[in-house]
Amino acid sequence: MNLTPLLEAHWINAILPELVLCIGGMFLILFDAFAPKARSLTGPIAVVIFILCAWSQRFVAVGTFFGGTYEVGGITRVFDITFVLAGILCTLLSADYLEREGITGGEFYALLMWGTVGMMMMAKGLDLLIIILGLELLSICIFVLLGFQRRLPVSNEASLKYFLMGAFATGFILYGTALFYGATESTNINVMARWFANPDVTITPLLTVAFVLLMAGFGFKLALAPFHPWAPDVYQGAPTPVAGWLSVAPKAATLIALIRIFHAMGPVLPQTKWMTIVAWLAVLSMIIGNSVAIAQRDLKRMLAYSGIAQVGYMTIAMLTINEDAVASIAIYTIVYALMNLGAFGVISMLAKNQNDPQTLDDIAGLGWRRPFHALALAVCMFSLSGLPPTGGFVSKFYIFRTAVQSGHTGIALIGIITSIASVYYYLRVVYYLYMKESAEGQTRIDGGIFATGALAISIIGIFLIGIWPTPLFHAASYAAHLLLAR
Amino acid sequence: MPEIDAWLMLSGTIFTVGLVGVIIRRNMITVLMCIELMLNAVNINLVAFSHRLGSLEGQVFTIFIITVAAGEAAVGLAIIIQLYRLRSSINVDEARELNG
Amino acid sequence: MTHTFIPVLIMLIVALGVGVVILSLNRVVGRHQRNPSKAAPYESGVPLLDTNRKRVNVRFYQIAMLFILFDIEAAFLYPWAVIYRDASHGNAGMFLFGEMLVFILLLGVGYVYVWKKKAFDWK
Repeated sequence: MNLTPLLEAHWINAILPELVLCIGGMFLILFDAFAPKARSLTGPIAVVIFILCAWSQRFVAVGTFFGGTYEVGGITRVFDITFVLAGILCTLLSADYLEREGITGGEFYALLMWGTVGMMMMAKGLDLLIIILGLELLSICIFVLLGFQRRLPVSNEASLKYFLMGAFATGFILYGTALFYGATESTNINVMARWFANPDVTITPLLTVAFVLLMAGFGFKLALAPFHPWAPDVYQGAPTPVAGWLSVAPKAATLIALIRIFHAMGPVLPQTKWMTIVAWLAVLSMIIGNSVAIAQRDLKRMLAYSGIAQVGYMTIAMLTINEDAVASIAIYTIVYALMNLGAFGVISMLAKNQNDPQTLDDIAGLGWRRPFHALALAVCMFSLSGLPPTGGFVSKFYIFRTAVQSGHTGIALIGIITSIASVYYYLRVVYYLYMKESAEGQTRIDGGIFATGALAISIIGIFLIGIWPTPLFHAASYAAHLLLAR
Repeated sequence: MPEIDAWLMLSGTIFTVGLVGVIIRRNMITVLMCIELMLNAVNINLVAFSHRLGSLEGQVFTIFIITVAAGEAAVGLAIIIQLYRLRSSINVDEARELNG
Repeated sequence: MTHTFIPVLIMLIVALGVGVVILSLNRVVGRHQRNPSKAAPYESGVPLLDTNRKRVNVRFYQIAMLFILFDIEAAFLYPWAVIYRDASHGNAGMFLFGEMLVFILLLGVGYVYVWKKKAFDWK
């Protein structure tokens, strides 16, 4: 028996960012356990570890590793940016938030890091086993993070709901995977792609069942429309920075994993109705997400429904996997991370009992009391609604243009119409910020240096991508080209 | 050795039992057990396919699923303990503060 | 495929029939007396110590939780132990040993953490 081929040269360079985060997380929990007095230091240490991880991307070796199960390439590096960015923003926002709530702990950041490792595994996995292991690592970290305010009933309830839904969805994904394994005789995505590329492959009902199960499971994780009801409840109950992180990063990881799977299935997709299912999920998400968001007064619930709609837009690009589609999804996730975490960041600074909902009334008149924080929220809202010159406009434009070019004009039209409707509820937030008188017993905004830094990163990033998107577009297109060239 | 169809039916049945259990049962521990049942149905499937195809991938997959399921069960138990401490009950319907 | 299950169906019907007949015969022919020891659950002939429907202290679940985590990791030790002797010659042996050492080390970190957090204490 020969084991050496499993370890290629430079394997350690291939997983360097993951290693940094794994070891960093372990260091943090041990630091927390052995030096409970220095607990407030864990936040800054976590930021340093995340920056180390971003820096270690420079040494990453490109190629296929571990016996063809792990692929590092341009597109995984683009998605790594999203994951690390979301991790850093969430860490910065949490440092102050946890301090205020009195629940500081190294475990929080450690779980955030391990969750990020899970997402990196999902993005880089070239084997369904790796993708599912990454997904599970991520899910288990999320279960704990959601319930981190364990004295708060809502936090526990959010954790419970996500656990039930998540475990349920995992069952579906695994069952679908098992059926795919039986049909295509391998769990390796490249081998599956060769099997699907065979011209006399027949689409058995078994394969369709497998696909439906897989899409149902991933639909749960993405909060796509018929599978979305957990999202508002979970976001409302979760610690706010975690809710922001949850609404961004795991979706990006799931999308890149789905891109790989869809790309492998590419040759058979025209003869099946599978993409019609995905198209319906996208349409339902956009319509339900945008229309229900209008009725929400709770900010976190509103952002949850807006997130459902945003995933709907991203799913449009998935309908035809080509270079532009992959690149537009990559850019959309980066911009989405910036704007959504920025919005959740401002909400996380509302100093009130976290068991109560944070509603529009809490931010009334904020524009005159705390100009910087109000500006940050307003910029994020403009970007989410897709108005120029923000990054949200650029990425949304790119998504819809890709969809039209691939011949999905009808769906793109629904996307554009619903996204125009969405401007109403995004700008209502801005209206409350600047046009409303602040109510009696106004809610204080409590933000330290870290959280303010996170908001600054968001604003700068949104405008940078909005005004000068070309370099990012070129990088993403080239990375997508390399991914699909195989 | 039964045909692959028989194994698929067995796993399909177990999966359905787990699925229905998750939906209709209200006791958290039972729900947890039903989720485990769903994952074990997947394991049967994988091992059956692995046997038929003569490839080891399915069995490796199974070992990982077993451990993943254990991790999930442990976190689930932790959530249930916390639910019990907060509400002195492990009925899923007790958790209904978030509604919209 | 369906027709292969007809014998199973017949067997199920026969089994159901036999069960119903025997149970109803019992009810029709047998004498009925009830006493406490007859109503009690059978536990290897030993008198019952306690009821089985009582509440278990929630602390047991905490121990169970930790037990599951550390116990199930043995699932990875078995395949490793099976191939270790055959696969280990030269560098491969050191590599395999190192892999398992890393794995145990990871578990060790978790163990130390749990210990320091006093999760093993029965408070």
